[in-house]
Amino acid sequence: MNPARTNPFTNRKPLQPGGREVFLKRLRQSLGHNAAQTPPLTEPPPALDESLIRQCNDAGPALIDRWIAKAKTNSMIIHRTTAEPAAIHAALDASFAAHNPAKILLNAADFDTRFSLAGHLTQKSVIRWTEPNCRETAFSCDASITDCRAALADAGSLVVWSDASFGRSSTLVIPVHVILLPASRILPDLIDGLQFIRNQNPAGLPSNVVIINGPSKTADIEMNLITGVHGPKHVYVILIDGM
Amino acid sequence: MTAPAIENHKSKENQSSTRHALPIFSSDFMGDARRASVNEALHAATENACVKKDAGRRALLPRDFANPDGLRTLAGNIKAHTLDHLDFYVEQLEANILKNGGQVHFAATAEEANQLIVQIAQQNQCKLIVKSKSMVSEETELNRSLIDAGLTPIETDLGELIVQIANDHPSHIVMPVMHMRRKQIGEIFAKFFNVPFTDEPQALAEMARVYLRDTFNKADMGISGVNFAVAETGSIVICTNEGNGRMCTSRPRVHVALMGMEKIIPRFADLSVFLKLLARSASAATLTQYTNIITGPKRPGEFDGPDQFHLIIMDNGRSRILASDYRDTLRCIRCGACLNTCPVYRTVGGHAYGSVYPGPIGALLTPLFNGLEHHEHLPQATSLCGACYEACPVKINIPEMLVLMRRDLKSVGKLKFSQRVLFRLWTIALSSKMLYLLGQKFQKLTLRHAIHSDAGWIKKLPGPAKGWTQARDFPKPPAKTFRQLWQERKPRP
Amino acid sequence: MHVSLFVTCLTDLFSPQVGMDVVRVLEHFGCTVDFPADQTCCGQPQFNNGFLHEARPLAQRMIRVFDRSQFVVSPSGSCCAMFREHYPHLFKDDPQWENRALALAAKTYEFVEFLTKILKADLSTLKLPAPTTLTYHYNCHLRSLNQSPEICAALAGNLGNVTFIPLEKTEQCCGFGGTFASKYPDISGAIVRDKIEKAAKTGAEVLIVNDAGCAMNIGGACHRLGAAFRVKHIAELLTAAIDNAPGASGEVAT
Repeated sequence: MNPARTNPFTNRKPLQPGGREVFLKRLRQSLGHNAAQTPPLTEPPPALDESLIRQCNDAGPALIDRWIAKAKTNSMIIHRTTAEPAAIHAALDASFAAHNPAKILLNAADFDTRFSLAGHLTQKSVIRWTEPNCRETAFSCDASITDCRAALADAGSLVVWSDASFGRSSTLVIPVHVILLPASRILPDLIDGLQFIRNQNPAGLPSNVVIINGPSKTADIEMNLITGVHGPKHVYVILIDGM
Repeated sequence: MTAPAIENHKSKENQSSTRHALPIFSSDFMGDARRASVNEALHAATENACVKKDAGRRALLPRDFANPDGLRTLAGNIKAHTLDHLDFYVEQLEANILKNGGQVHFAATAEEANQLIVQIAQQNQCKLIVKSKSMVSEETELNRSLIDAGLTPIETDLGELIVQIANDHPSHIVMPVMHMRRKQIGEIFAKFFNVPFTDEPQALAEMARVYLRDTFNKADMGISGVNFAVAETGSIVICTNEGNGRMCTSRPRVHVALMGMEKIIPRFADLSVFLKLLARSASAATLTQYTNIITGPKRPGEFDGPDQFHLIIMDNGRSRILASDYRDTLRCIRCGACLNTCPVYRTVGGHAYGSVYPGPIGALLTPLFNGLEHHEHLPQATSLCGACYEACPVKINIPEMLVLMRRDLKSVGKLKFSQRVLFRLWTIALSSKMLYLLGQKFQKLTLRHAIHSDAGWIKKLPGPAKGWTQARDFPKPPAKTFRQLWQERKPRP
Repeated sequence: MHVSLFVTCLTDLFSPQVGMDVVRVLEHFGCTVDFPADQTCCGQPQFNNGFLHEARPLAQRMIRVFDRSQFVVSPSGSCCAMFREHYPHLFKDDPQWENRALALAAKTYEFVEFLTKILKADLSTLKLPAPTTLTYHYNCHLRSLNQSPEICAALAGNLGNVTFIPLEKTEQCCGFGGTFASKYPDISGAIVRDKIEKAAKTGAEVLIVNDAGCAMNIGGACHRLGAAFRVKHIAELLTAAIDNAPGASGEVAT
């Protein structure tokens, strides 16, 4: 039931500041509601029909192959390996080959232990996330190695979120970012990704979730594509089969 | 590279205390449009950017969705529902932000929003401020208030940084320096950073990167806009490509997010609809490089992230729009698709619209925020082609509202008496067959014998029609009308 | 099928032959065509300029005029859109007239739409008298009629003796917009010049323009700028093809 609409050009009372109460009262009145109290919803929000939202060209290739194809168009470089330390080390070397980083930020605790990543990087200076001052030191690192929470095949994205042991800066401030992605973490669509984020955080969302779709970029100057503006310029994904 | 001083970003018309809701940087629409319409360089830039993005949108939507029209209808309906119950969702959003350790402030006006942010900065000893792209902060002219209070705001979106250094105005809501050539930008940067000239885009971006990296590290406060605010979880979502949005909201110790109150969506799951539509509509991409979902400040145990999260929810006239026939304009998710597809925008560019919001949506929003009497040309300078409505991911019926706004010109005294008389008489002439036929006779008589004409075409029409012949010839009506030919038809066998 | 022709005020006065050609084509494909002479103007100028109060009686007039028609066919997409899109909205607070407007909307078709969707006319034998290169400008209002640019482009392209060249940015408005063209000549002029530049770029001899407003605007600018191509309604081409068919009787275009 909609009240009669008013002419916004002739009805121009100045807006009175006055904090929360005045704001809400004015908002309620503009909707034709009782100014004193917001009424409950008279109807639920529209139902989300998944058939409209889910990406349609998804039948056919396997989930992993779909993700790889999309991630590649997003300028991510994929190294596919088995869950063996030697294979992972080789993939790390391949990722670093063009960059020869001297100082590396490591934020993938479980993987470090299981595949002795730091052990392989003895020629480099390795800073582990949660070391003192790592947040500042991150800025001077040449590369970072992190894992991720999930990957989404519809757009070729990766999902990360922060907590006490996983930082924000480790996926952001370094020019070369290597991500460890067990194949089992690939989900079909953003719909599933959002559901996954909720399910993994039943007590409430983390402070910072990021869906990463490739290296940092801009086309602000004459539509020229420039990469590595503030976030990483090079994104490598070590996709681990059978994990 | 230390931070050189950036000059104050002034708008030409808003120095007095009785400011408009939106800053106006030009009130000469006719002159601006005239100059823009013959500006070849502007035309080329606009074609290059707009046509590409528009074509990309039109290719991606049917490629990725079985029923793109249905998806847009769903998005429009979610927004319509939210607006119809905006009081409920504002309160739900607030409650959930508070639950997550954030703070919420309510601003009636642009000025109040700016002052709230200044206060937060002062209360927390924040001096150096990094800003990621926020249309609303342009609406409020936030930088000016921050500078007036002795604070140092630095724009971190590359396009916005260029605009800030050049003391210019953005010309497109998604591509702020679409109107600038690389040579221009090179000159601006050479002067500002005191380095040799280059116009190579990667080199220019590198200059900005080094400068801003240092700034991110030292900044006390980060200010961001909000693409979507999720009421159900108390989260805000920021979609960027460069990574500056993440930097601004992760490195400094205080994060302030500024948002128009219409940016709320009800559920976390609704993000699947809006994120999928936003990047495809805005930049012909599936998603932006970074979709950042922020729920409060950093949590106990985290050491990387801001200590404080503040959300400023602003009205600045949106409540008035909500109560009007133009409520649907508040569905806008600021994708810029309507700009990219609009023949008028493609011809005149963003600056001719004179304020922060250009293009078809701007033609509605600017008069709605500032008063139609100050912007009488905006709803009229359109061919009502409907390309914007077709492009809009939330199905705002922009052409219908432009017609309603033309209707409302009368209520602000901007409908010339002569126009009213002309249309009244015209309607009378069409109300009976006899008058219609008389009208045809009259037109044939005057047009077929028009003075400034040659062989079937009229070169110059008088009065209100003279604009037509400024740009093209007008055809003379043939000797016989259709009705006459029809009457003369040989009977069918 | 019985078709009532909604000729439109602009076609009536400025391109009457297009009206005759539409009749010719419809009759060729088996329709009987009548012309309710009480029709005047759909009220688009009134409506577009926000004179909704003035547009309503004109709409009511048209609804009455076509009350007993089975099909209403118009050669102009914009006028068609008035009937289909805007008439029902004009009466949204008047259920009786809204129903009548919806009834009119349900039986109104744009010419190409009628040929392809309702008549499902077999145009495969039609051949233009001489080899012709064609391109096509998409009238904006076909959007609200759910007709894509491909429909008429395909129709034209499939005619014999035709080489069809797609027009770059065919879906961009020509800059007419009714009073917009006179009130904002700088902008409108720049938009139509862009259209002509793109059409000239195709090298086509004929630009198909299926709306009287577009035709006046583009045609007028062509003449002013001295463009090499001619502007024609698809009905004119179809009539030429029909008249070209072996054993064609029918009226010769005057």
